[in-house]
Amino acid sequence: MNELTLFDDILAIISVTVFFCLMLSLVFILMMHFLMPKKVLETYFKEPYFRPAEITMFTGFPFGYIRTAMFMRALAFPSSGKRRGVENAYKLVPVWYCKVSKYFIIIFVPNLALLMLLTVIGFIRYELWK
Amino acid sequence: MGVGLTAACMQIANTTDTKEKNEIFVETITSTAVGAGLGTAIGLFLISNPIGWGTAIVLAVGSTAMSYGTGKFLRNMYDQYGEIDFVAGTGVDRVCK
Repeated sequence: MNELTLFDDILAIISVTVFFCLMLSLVFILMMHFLMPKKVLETYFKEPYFRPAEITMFTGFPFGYIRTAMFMRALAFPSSGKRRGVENAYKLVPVWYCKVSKYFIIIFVPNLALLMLLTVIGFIRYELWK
Repeated sequence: MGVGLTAACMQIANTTDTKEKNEIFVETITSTAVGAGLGTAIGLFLISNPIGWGTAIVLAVGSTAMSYGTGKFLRNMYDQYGEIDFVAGTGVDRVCK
């Protein structure tokens, strides 16, 4: 095993913190999954907005939360749902849900990107540069 | 996901060393959580980009490789810094024996 340096200490602290934030994000998305207004799903989670395979795959366990993520983006940033035709879905949900979704995405995406970057740095540090 | 967790549980059960049990636990939890996180990211992407099977397979393989890599990375971190006994603390050792 290599001798641990300050770089390793910093890498460990940041990695564990970012991973902890990811765990919190997953708990949060689970809460949002159950809070998702039924009206949105009844109106938009069907053909022609989604393909039959997508509807089957993203219903229930274990991939149901991906559907929540999709709608959270459509509600937070309505223009993102234009290609599927769900840009007006935000009108069916409370304003707080849209705002919370927006802040969640703004925090979640950089957090996940940072974790991926740290994984690549870790791979270089511990596998390639031993 | 269930298969991975069951396999990890069996690995924990078949290992006597406490540190190795914890390393398996950390690796499994990390790769599962990162897989779920990447699934969320794919969902965020899918709403604006309906994709075909080819792209879906590439995304699935990419996220699997990434979650595996992150699992290994944090296992390495635990190997170097880990002192907390997660397996005993969470009661996993009582389930996986």
